[in-house]
Amino acid sequence: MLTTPIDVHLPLVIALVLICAWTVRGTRWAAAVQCAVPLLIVAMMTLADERGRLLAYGVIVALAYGAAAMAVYASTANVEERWRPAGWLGGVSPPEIALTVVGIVLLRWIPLHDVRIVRELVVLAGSLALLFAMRRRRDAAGPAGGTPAFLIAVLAVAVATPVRAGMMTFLPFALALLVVGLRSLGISTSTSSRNIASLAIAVILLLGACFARYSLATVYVASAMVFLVPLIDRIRPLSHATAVAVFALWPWSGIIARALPIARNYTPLVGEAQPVSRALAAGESLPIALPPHVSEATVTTYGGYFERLRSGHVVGAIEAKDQRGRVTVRPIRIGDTADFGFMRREQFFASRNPLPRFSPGEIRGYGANTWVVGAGRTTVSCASDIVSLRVVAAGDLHAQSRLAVDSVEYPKR
Amino acid sequence: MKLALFIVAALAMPLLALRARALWRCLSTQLGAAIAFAILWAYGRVLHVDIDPYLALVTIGVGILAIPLAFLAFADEVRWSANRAFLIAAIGYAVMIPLQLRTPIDGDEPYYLMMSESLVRDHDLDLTNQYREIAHSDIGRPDLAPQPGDPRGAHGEQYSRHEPFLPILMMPGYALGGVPGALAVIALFGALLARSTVRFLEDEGIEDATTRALFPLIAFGPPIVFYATRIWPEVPAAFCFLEALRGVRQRRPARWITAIFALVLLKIRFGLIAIVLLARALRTRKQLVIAGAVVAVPLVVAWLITGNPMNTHSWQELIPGGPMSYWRGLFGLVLDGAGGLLFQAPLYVLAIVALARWREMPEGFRLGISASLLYILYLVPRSEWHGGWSPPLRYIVVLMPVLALGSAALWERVGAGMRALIAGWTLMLVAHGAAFPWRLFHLATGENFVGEALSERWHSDFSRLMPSFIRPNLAATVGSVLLIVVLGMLGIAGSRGWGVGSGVWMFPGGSNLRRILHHSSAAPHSPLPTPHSRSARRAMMGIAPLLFAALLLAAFTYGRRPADRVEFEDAHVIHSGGELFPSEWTVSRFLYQGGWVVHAGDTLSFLAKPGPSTLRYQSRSGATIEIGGHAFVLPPSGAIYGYTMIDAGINAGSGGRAQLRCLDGSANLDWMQHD
Repeated sequence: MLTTPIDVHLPLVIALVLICAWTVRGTRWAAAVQCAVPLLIVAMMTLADERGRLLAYGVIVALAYGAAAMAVYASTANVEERWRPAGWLGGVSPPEIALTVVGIVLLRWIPLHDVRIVRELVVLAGSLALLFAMRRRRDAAGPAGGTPAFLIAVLAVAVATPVRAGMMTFLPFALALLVVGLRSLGISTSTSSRNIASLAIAVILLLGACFARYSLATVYVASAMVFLVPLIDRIRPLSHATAVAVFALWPWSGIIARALPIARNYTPLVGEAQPVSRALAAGESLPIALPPHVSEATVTTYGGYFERLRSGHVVGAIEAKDQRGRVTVRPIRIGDTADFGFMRREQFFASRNPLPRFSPGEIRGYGANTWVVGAGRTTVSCASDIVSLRVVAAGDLHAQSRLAVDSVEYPKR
Repeated sequence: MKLALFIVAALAMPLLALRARALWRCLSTQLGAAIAFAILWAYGRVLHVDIDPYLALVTIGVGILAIPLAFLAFADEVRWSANRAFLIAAIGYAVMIPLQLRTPIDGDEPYYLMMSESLVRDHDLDLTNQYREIAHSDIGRPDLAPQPGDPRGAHGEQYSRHEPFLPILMMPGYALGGVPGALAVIALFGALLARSTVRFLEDEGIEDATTRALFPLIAFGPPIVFYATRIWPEVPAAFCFLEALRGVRQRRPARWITAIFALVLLKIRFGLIAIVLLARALRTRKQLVIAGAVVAVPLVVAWLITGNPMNTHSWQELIPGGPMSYWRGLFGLVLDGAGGLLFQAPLYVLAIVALARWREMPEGFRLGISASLLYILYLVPRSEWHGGWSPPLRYIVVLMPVLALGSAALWERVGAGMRALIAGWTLMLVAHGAAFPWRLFHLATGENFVGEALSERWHSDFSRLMPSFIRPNLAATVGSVLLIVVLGMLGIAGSRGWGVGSGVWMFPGGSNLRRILHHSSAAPHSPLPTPHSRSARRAMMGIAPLLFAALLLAAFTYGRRPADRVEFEDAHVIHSGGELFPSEWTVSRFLYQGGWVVHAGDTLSFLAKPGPSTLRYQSRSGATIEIGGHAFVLPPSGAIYGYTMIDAGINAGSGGRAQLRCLDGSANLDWMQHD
């Protein structure tokens, strides 16, 4: 009954929580962080529903991690004085490094059997480099400033970095260089000029995210967060709560990396669904029988070999004919639907598909391997009852490509 | 409405208790928590997480309300006084009342309310017309019938066995607001109790920070929170007892005489507390006369109503029972999984530990405990020591303020890990009781909700790991021995002056410890802890949650193995047909030896050990059962229990599960013990 990879990795997770507890030892938070261990075991023992149990793991670990981060940064100066060995470089203390490593392992390394160790170590090293670059003392005389926003930004970059996309693995290093480069250019002489420069870069990156393809947008947004640290820190309750809530999804960290907007795009089943399960080659069509007195139908489709198609590309159409003989044609585009597995870890970066606007939210896999099925829902409405419904695959599809019709849904009668 | 109440309370509590930066930090933390829950809710929908939305709402609400209370405990910028404690408690209870009203009132509650209704509408205590018109009553219990043993008047009047003082107190509330109004009266007493408890802790020298840390656990922790929002005389009685104690300690006769009078009027049984307290308090002849009247008047009232000054009780109940009944009651109140402090109100276990350090404890604690000694001696041998059909710990709710003082005296000396565990467990109990108020009432089967939940989840007997003194088991014996050993060790350590310096489970807690050292007669000779011993103890107590986790893992591993004894009515047995014995709503069900009645065709599936076992059953006509492919004849046993040898016949492929099928006849199967 405890067969998911997350359950199997629970000893590792407990070990990571213990590291968090170690980082705050000697503070009043240590006991609270340690309490996560019995809570994890209680969740394992008591919760039968698999997703409920994994979400409970997520929340417990996120709270422990958040508490540890807050405690580590609560009295940064003291912590650094206490923790930093003589000659330690930069303004980063060992507990911060430990927390960063723990966060990255939780978000990227589970399940362990699928880890590409060299590339993951590169990401880990890059993330630490970024942390060091961001957490440099602001000036020689002043105290070392510290905020969990640094950790949030570094983890965001780490989780968004694709490891199966060649040089993109070095994204954290590139960002660290950019941060250091800005400083070496003399921009950091005053706080306001540094903030303005950071904000300008963040705006550029966010604009890039608006125009880039979906699989790159995440990278742009995560990179922008590095330069938005002052803002993240300013809206503290909101940003910290959001970070903890998002971090709580680590048992499905693939969602954090590739499908965070799914909560917005998710449209649950509300009517009666009729399975179809047919794949159409280019130009093929499929008539679907509907019960009488139905004037609106929602067809769930997904594609095979669609991942290279850009947003807006028409891949098929739904034709509905009503009682009065009027034909309503609703084109199915990339954006309404997507490639079935484009959100898989190995396919995502190369794909051009966006997350479908109305997604049934079918989630598969665990940990970093989690992906959302690229199915989308397209609704066709007629003024009167539909007498015939047909799904047609576009004629210009690639020979191997298929438009799969998963199901049709109509309002409950 | 419940959501609105949660929001109002979440805003009002910090505004009352906090100021300056702490206030803003608390409000922003609450806002952050609400945002985090909203995000998780949104993703939970996508993930199709199967969770009871009501439970989620209550848990989130309890979690958000815990934030200002945590700030109150740990922040420096607080607004704190006993009056503020009263207001905070009142707000908390106002949230809890609608949650408790999710199901109709139960146990003795409707009877108290019916008396209030009769007093308000008919101005009498005769309930004959109330029972006749029960379908039209506001009480919400159309199934209500007189309780067994309810007294009847000379002209056929139907009275209740319960004392009329609580219904009299509830009259204004009931007249104004019906059932919620009556509950508001009890909640008012709960808030007054919170205020008095804070004052009591202050009077007895407990530090302000400790009081603030403990206030949420006392006022909003079990059992007080459940009895302050349900209709039982226990919380008003606790308030009266506490006021009497404070009156005695402050030498204010008017206060303690009034409080003791009210205490005895609430329940005759509290007279046992009153007698000892009066014996400790009387100083003048005038006080003696008044005290005599205080005890006599409630007896006269009871005699006038029921014809018996002891109401439904008798003097014989004061005669001590056998030693086993004392063992069950005394240790059960501390360790029992369903009705003991350890599982149902863990904070107060510290007060039991405090007993071992009697001489170091505040005077108020010693006075309170000694005053309740006769009451406890009367209570523990009773078969209903666990409270019967009521929320847990019913009979000792009255003592909770005193136990709270004992816990407070030790709180700073308990490690942070232990404190976190106590707080976490308390939070879980509150959320559970608030979401499922009907689960506060337990059938007293020998299981508790934790064991039942685990047994149902894994179809293995986890209940055997929880000590039960209702249906004594091995864990109860082991737990009793451990408790004696721990208390003995602490007592010896305390008497030799080791306790504060090198106790096994404690570490010194700063100024509070110094205060105890200063006041204690034994402590001045105690050696101060060395830095080495201090760090060792800190290290040990610091890992209390990890030790608890290890204990949980061991229990999880052991609990999934077949047990030596299978109780057939337990939650781990998969029942296909048959019925519970005795039936669910049997009065004083705990007096029976339980079982599961099977008829021809019914099957039971359970984990069992291979090899011969003894089956205990009761069957008037005999039965034939099949287990592991073998048929066994159960000869008629008449009205008594019979025993037969069987073989569970477990094979390697069955995963330790045995299937028992009744082939013919019917039998009440009690248990099966592996030989």
